[in-house]
Amino acid sequence: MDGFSEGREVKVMAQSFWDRITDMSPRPLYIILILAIAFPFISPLRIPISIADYTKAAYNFVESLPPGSIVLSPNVIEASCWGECGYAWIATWEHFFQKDLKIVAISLYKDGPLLCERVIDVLKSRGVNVEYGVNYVNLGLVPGFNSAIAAMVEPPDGLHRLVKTDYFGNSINTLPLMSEIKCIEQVDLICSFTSGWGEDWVGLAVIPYGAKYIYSCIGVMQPTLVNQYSLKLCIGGLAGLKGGAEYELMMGNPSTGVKSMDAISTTHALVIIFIVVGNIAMVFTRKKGD
Amino acid sequence: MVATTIGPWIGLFFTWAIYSYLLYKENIAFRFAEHTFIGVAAGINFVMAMKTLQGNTLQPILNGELIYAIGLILGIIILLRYIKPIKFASNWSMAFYVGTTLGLTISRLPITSIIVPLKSFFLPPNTLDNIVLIAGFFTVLSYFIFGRLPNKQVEQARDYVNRAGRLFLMVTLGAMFGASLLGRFAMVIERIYFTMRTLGLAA
Repeated sequence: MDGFSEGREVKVMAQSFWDRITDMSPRPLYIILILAIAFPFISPLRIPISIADYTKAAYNFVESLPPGSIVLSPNVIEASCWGECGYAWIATWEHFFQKDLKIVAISLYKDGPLLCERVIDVLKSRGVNVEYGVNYVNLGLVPGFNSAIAAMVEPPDGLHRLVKTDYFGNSINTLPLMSEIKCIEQVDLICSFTSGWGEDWVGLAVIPYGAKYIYSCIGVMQPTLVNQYSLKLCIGGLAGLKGGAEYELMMGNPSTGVKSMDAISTTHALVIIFIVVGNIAMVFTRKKGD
Repeated sequence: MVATTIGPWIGLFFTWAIYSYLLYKENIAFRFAEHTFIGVAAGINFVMAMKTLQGNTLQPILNGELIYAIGLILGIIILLRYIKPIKFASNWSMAFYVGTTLGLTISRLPITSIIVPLKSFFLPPNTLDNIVLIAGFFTVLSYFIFGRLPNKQVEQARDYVNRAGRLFLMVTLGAMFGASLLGRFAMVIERIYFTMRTLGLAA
């Protein structure tokens, strides 16, 4: 083969390779992605995790609360967000129970009551002492979002006027913990789990009543959390899966959140590689006039 | 250890039945899972709504707290929209609901969503972070001001500022899109981990 035809062959081959990249089915990429997720669970990479200031602040505040303090723990979260917020939820509640704090859970979205029970099941399986009605209450679903928040925080007995029975149908007057909390005035900390941003609680509880507030949000809401933290509208917070992993590390109890962070790193690296390769392919296959 | 209860196995089946759409193509397992999911979601919604209604509305009314009947009546009136001759009545409930929510929103939330965050943009320009924040704020603000300026030179200068604002917007929206997309991986990771635990491949 002479030099000219050899060069042409190479050029044709290169062209077809990049064409094939741009035309390829995404299915092999999904398979690679699944393998990249599965690998760190079999063989952990132990990539170091830095802890954000707002996570530290949230942890330190919980540490500073005396035993017996009451935590109002509302959630506005769908079951699909469990992967992002679930580990943060488990870690914070575990910390509350370790510190002997009392949790009053209330859900502003229909999936919430079931997720609360799921968290409790996980904690019970870890040997955490949960006594229903004494150090934990699940008030179930309260519809109305902002109107519901405004009503429940209102002194002197907003919560009791809004909620009459808990998730299991018991009258709240029969639950010992509920005799200790009537409205926002008895709440030492609000710890919210949300798939949005926490401004509802800031506007309706923090600014008017000076409530102490931390929240866990999905990762994409982290800029809002940082902004609210820097403006001292919240004590601190946990952003997405990483927030859960950070909290687990601070508690000295690395669990599923920490394990999942390796998978987050591998998938993010893989996506960056896909984006770079995709863009190179686009440049090589771009025709004049595109 | 492989899961020994039925729950995880059902979860495993539905997870991969849904994923089979992406990994293979539309198939009977996917359709079955899709319809089951919609049915279960509707069922949970209904049960939760009824439970809340029973516990927090009907029970207090039966105990003599008649103020809760107002909410119940307003709720029933909303359903009147399906009866043509008295359809107009549903607007009363909607007016009450929208009015209450709007009142709350206007009185409380602008403080948190507009006024307080504005503080974060009035910073001393002594660090690179602060300079970027201040520049981003003013250029993006300028991008959304469409009024005419006194002369051409000023208009031209504003064009440059607007371009910078557009750049800030693009970077912000790109970062948000990226974060949103990558945040979704957390959900996939949870499902893969669940699969591995069910099959006994991970602790």
